[in-house]
Amino acid sequence: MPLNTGRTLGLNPKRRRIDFASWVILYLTLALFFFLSASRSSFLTVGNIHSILYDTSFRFFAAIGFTLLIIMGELDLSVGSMFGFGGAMMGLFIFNYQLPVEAAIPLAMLVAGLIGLAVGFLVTTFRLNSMMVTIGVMMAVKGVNWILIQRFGGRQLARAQYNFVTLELFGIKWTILVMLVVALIFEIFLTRSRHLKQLYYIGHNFSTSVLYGLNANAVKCACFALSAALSAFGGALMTARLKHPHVTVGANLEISVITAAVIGGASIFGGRGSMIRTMLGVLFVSLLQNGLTSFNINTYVQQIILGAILVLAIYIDVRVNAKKA
Amino acid sequence: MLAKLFRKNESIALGLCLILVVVLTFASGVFWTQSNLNSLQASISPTAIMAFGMMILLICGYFDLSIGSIMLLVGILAGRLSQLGLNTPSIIVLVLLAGLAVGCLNGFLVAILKINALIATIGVQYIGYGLAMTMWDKEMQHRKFPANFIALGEDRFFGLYYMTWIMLALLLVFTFFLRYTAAGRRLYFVGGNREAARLIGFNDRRIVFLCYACTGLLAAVAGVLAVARIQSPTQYLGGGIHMTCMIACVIGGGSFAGGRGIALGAFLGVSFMSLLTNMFNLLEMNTQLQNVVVGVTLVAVIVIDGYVTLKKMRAMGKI
Repeated sequence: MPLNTGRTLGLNPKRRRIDFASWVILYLTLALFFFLSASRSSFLTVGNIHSILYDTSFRFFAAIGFTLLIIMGELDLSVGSMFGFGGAMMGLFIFNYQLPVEAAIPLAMLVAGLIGLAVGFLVTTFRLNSMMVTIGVMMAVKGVNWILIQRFGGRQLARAQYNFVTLELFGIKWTILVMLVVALIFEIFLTRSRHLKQLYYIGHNFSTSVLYGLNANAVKCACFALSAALSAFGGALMTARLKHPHVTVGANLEISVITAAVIGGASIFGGRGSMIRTMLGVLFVSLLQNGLTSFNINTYVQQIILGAILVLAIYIDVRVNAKKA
Repeated sequence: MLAKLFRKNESIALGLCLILVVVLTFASGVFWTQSNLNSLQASISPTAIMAFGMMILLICGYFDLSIGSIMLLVGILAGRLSQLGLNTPSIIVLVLLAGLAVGCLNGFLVAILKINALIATIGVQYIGYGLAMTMWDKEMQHRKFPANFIALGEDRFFGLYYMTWIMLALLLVFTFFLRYTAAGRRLYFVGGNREAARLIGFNDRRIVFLCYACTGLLAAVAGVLAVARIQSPTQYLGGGIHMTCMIACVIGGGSFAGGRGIALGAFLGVSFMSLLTNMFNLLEMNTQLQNVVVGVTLVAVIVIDGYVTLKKMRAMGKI
């Protein structure tokens, strides 16, 4: 165990006490939270907190597969455009094929998942840099989104097709509850289950994991497919929330998601990462954007700040986690 | 001799260009008109200037996704400075310095801090876009640059735009630099085998840093020429151009693995991409379809490049 930041392999099962250093993201989020509650009177209201969480819950869907992939050392930059693709596909199936929304969303996820599978296949078969491939995919998919959404010409979804997204359980939007449950389930499986633990082995040392008989390439393909499908799901929900497919759904989302995952303790070198901490990372980014907006800072300056945070986070990652090759 | 020529990647790019020219000649009546050739020049020249920068980075085994943002930043900064009433030479010097500064930032992040080139330059792209757009206001697009600034993009010399001459001059400079100077040959060593290059005593960090700085400067030159041609700043300058440059360089014989490529290849690759765009426009296809085609082409190019590299590695027994 080289450093106590972030979970690596479970080399020392006796160590059960909480590893404080790896929860940096929690302290950051709490600090930001207290800072905003102290400085902005409008911040600490039930409505505002609820809307931040609601916002986070959509983005989190794009971050799930991303986290699984970054644990294996792969980066999927197409999550943002896949997010938009989910919405565009949902629109296509609803407007052009008159399908009910219950069929449209799974079909959209299926199409996105197939694209993800193809990406995974290309990356693993030809040993490509996943970032490069997914940048190409990002661009192509974004073009498809534009074409589709232009064709809809601003058509609105019918009431029955979007109001499912605003359903509430105990006064909390269901997407927030789903986010919490999914994060918890993945966290438990990532630490306890044989199937998800192998992601860490693959990310830590690819060749050794293959020698030990893990089918690393198949796992990677599955995660690429999952990443695309879940992003599309999040995008479909977001589209339902906006009540019509829109080209800004998922724009620049990949930057937020990478930032969230990396400040959540994942490493671009693979072998690290945790679902709960990624969720906190996404929450941190949402809080930050909410806070900056409440200070009347325009979106372009927000973009500068987020870009700087991304570079800083990666720099720290490089300093802490770079393998001494 | 002929077979050897065919095996070069540059001739593939040349062949693709010729095919497109033939297709366009027959499919569209306006391809050979003066105005279309002018717009082709205006699209090839700035992009090729940027692609030379991308090519030297690819030769070292790196790349830069922020050049589109640099171009935008330069365009909008030039608009701001001309609003302040500066004269043309000082505007040009200042914006070129700005481009150089962003290039140096990239170089610092990648070569000195050792941040993954892709993420660092995506971050800088994001920051640069934000920076450019904070300086942007809508009235800017109605305000023209001073006449002698516009002259850079509009005036001709022997029937070709100045920017085309600048591009051709840079083509010669980079061909000479990469082929006949020790400094240029070093890039191939760094890209081909980094460890060996370091052991021989090359300062690979400095080389990569300088390549990034140079790319930033070239992107700024391209930005100046492009806004001079458009005559006023625009917020759409440089969108997706980093993709075009990357694809162009790989089609023109560069490789993401590093160690390969020449300046002529970058030029031919850019010509191919510009002809492709020209085809979309002349045949009135959906402009968003271009993005799809460019994205799919990028994936295809990466896959083919990866396949060739993999085959070579297998043949060398490294895998």
